[in-house]
Amino acid sequence: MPVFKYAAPASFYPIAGRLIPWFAIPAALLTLIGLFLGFLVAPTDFQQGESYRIIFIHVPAAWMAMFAYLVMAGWCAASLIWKTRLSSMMALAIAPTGAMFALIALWTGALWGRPTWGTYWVWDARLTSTLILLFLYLGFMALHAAIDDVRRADRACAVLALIGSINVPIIYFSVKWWNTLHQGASVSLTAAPKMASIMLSTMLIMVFAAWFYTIAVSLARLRSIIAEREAGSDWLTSHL
Amino acid sequence: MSGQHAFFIWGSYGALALAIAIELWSLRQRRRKALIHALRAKQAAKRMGSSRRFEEHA
Repeated sequence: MPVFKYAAPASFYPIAGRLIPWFAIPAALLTLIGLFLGFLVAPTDFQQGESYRIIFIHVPAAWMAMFAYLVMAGWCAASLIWKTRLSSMMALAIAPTGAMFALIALWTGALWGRPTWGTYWVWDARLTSTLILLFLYLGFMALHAAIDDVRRADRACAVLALIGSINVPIIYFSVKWWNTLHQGASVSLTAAPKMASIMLSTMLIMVFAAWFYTIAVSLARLRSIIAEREAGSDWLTSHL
Repeated sequence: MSGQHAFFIWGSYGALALAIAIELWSLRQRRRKALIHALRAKQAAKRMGSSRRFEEHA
């Protein structure tokens, strides 16, 4: 199949290099637009005052942390099924950015929780399951670093990522399944939005910025991983 | 942005900016190390090739 041609690190390495600016530049532009709208255009919330502006990074970070984990687990599944080396490298490239977004979601959530709930942290279902997500990311990276044989490390991490993916629907539905301090879903495909359109559009712009940033950074990290693993190969020396 | 919520807002945006800065810096460092490693491997391969040619010639 022609698509498998691009599953080879040698084929994907130059493509990744060409793709990075196509995601990095929109990420920067969308962030600037989002910050402009979020700080200068969106009005003050009548209930929460200025603190609600944390939503413009909290929600994109939380969504990205969950989605990046599912993408990472998808690449891990692909690596187990098709035994493609690039799939494992993709999963490894996504993990640090996913962990960063999980940490940001927890941090911004704590800073938003203090003025709105009166506390930085509660052992609530949504918060605890997001903390577990961060530990899963850290565990994935630590496990890979702990095993010397790269192939064995890839397989072990793939199994861990696939088992851990059960946590993502738990995070998403936690506010429905349990009584939690955390509010319900801000945006739903089936219901009308619960926030003003300028706030919603600013949040969605920041979501797209997070997407583009994650793709750009993951591709850049993937190139480094390929260069580390393929050092000494003929095709890589032609790119140096 | 002023008032009682400034700490929480700037604490959030500042943490994101710091996290992105650290991630981009570590990416740059990793890329540098990977390229140096690959270049050394290339030079080692070249040296091995030239010594093999010398042995064949000898």
